[in-house]
Amino acid sequence: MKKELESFLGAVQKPSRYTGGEYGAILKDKQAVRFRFCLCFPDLYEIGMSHLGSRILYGVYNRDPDIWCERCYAPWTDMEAELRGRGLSLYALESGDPLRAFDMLGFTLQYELNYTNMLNMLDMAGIEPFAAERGEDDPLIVAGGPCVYNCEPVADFFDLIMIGEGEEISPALAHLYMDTRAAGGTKADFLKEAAKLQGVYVPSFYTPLYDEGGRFAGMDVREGAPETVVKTIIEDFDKAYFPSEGIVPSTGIVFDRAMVELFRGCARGCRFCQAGHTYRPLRAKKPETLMAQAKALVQSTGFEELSLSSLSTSDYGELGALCDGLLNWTEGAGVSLSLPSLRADSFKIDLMERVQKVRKSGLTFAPEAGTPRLRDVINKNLTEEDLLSACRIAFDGGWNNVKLYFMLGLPTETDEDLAGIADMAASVLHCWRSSNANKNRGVKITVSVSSFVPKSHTPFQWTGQCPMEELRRKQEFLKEKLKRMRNVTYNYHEAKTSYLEAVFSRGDRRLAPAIYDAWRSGCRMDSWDDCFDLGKWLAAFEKNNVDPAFYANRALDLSDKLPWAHISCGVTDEYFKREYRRAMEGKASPDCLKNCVGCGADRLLKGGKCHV
Amino acid sequence: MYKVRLRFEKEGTARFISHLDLMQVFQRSFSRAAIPLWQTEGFNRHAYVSIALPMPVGVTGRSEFLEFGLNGEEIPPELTDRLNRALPPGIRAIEAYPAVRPVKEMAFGLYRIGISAPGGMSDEQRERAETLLSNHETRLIKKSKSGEKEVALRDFLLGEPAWEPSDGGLAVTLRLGVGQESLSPLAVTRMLKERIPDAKNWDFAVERTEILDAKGEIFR
Repeated sequence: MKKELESFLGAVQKPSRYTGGEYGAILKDKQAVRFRFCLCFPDLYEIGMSHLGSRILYGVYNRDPDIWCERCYAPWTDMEAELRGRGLSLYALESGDPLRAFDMLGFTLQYELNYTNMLNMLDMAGIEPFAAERGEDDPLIVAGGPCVYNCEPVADFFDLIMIGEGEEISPALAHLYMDTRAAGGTKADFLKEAAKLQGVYVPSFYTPLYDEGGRFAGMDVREGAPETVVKTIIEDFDKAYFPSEGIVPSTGIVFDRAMVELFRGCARGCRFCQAGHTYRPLRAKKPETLMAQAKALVQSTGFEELSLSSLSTSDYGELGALCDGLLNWTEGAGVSLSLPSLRADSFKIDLMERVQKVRKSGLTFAPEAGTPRLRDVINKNLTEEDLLSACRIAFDGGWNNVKLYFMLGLPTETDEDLAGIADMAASVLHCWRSSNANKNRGVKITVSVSSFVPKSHTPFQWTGQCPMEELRRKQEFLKEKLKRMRNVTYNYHEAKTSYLEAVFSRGDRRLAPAIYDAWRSGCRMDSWDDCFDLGKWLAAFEKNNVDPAFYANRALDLSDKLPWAHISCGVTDEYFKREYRRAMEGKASPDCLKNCVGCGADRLLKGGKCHV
Repeated sequence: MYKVRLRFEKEGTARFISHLDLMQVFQRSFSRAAIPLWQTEGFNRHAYVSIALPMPVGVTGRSEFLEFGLNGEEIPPELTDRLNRALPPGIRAIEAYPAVRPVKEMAFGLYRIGISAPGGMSDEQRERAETLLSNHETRLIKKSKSGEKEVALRDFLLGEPAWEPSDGGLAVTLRLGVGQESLSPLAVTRMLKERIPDAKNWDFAVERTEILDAKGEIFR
């Protein structure tokens, strides 16, 4: 930590966000490495340190003796004011060196509402946000993460974007850069070579074209870059690098626990879900591998909780055996297990009983829609009977806190579907009353709703988002329906943040100047309610002649060219179209554990066969 | 439960770890060092650790105390060495011994406050600083969970502050109440900053070097 920070760190909120010096943070001699990389997470430390992907990449880079990988997080507004007021640059936590001292800064784009934080971090480091304005001496600015499947709104800010899983490509790119520089090559030389690698997207080699009506009309590709950039994946996920050590924060973070990753991908194919498509194909680790990784990680970090993470944990084939194996030693060691992302149709009470012996924290289920018809449209293959039987078992087993997640504004949704949400809550309440639960302890049912955001690389990428006013009406409609239900708590996310998410999730390059202007006018920390200011955003759109509704609310034709069509997650366009049509016909599709739906992601594997 | 007292140091980046976070840091460090702690009985079991005196964020501690419970009847050999390999940088275990003397006998903290004035310190400023601390009528703002209140310095001070020159300016050593009747050294530095003309940009480096009992003797 640098001396000049010491005088004011005591005056900012939660200063340990900014000090580094945690157990497990990696220090190297900067003279002894050839490449300095900084993982930049455009949100607060507590959020960024909770991100498993960053932990994996930190380990991947740092096990390479030529590379020193450090970390930087977005400072909260009080820290930003202190740093700017004193003319201090944003710095990396390990060395305390300003970000300009690095060869490469890698931003992970987890969420659209972090875009202004990304610009703010660059600016606080004295780095030009637009790639075209930067010179040979500036660090290379690269990105990865889920948002890069449609990174067009922010593409102009980056020199290079990595599509897909980064375990192998990240150090490979670092070495390509070292070698290019050592041979006297320029940034441009590096980018030209890099663009030949699978999963590498160099935005400056792609110029978007628009027709007279202002609609996207395809990409003009130069420098021999591929027409379609296909993501990279780890083929043998069981053998993939996984850090058996890690940083243990000295302050509370959001997911303050050890995490192992059961599998990558998801078999379910919910039509609204981007992750469910972009992480395909499904690849699982063996229980023995997971047990060894979990034990090593818990012992080296001292975490008192172990989380078995994935997109749908109850779909892990050998979950019971895995939990038994883990409980053999976790119970004695005072380590608790947590199983997020459980589905009500595969809910196994005996498993939950074993895992949560003492504390019965709440259970969360996500039916997403209120009627069987709409659940078929979104391909959430969950019946009310599944939900109620899971709830009955849970209530009988001593749980008295159930949370239900739904989305509003789904394609084809009617008020009848909304009323169905209230009916489901009533059924769950009735289920509690008729269960063997101790009635004196009461019950808490939480109905939590968010607004549907159409995402690229999903079958719903052609649908427009329901207008904001209509979303608000739907929220009120449901509030009325639930008002008189005792024991039912209703909460919902603000529609205005979902609106902005929708603008970016299907946006194109013309949004970059508006994002820049929004940041210039003071937008940052947009994912935090006390900072979000839609008025500033609307003003920035207007200034740049951008109609946000053009992006958020407009339904696209299946024949329209899509601004993200040159980025492929392996799932084919034909599959997305087929699934879109089936959705509109109200037809569900099977999950791929039962029946291959021909999504195309199997082509990413050698031999072209999924391991399911 | 076999109750053990650990004397430790907290400096550098670790100074900014808050009181509540510090207990978790220790719990996880014991776990990494494979030293099993005694678990509380009851519904929500957890390892017993307790830090007797909270310290304001940013203050260095040279001789701080943590109590923890062991299952056995003896302190494992090389406990401090093992713990030191598992603690984050800036926290260092000094010694561990059975917790005999009650924590409530901790009465004062011995603080050293280094004052540096970036533009140099005038004689007037120096005199003003000395007068403010030697005049027992000086009043300052004590902050607590229940709010702020104005208190007299003398009610929390043991003996006289001792001044000495230090690099960049001055240093003062003083004994302030801890525990029930406590006054944060940061209340003193805030007061100096406000009451001394042109002292807004002064930097204060605060250290708690020892914990004392009611008689002013070193507590162990």
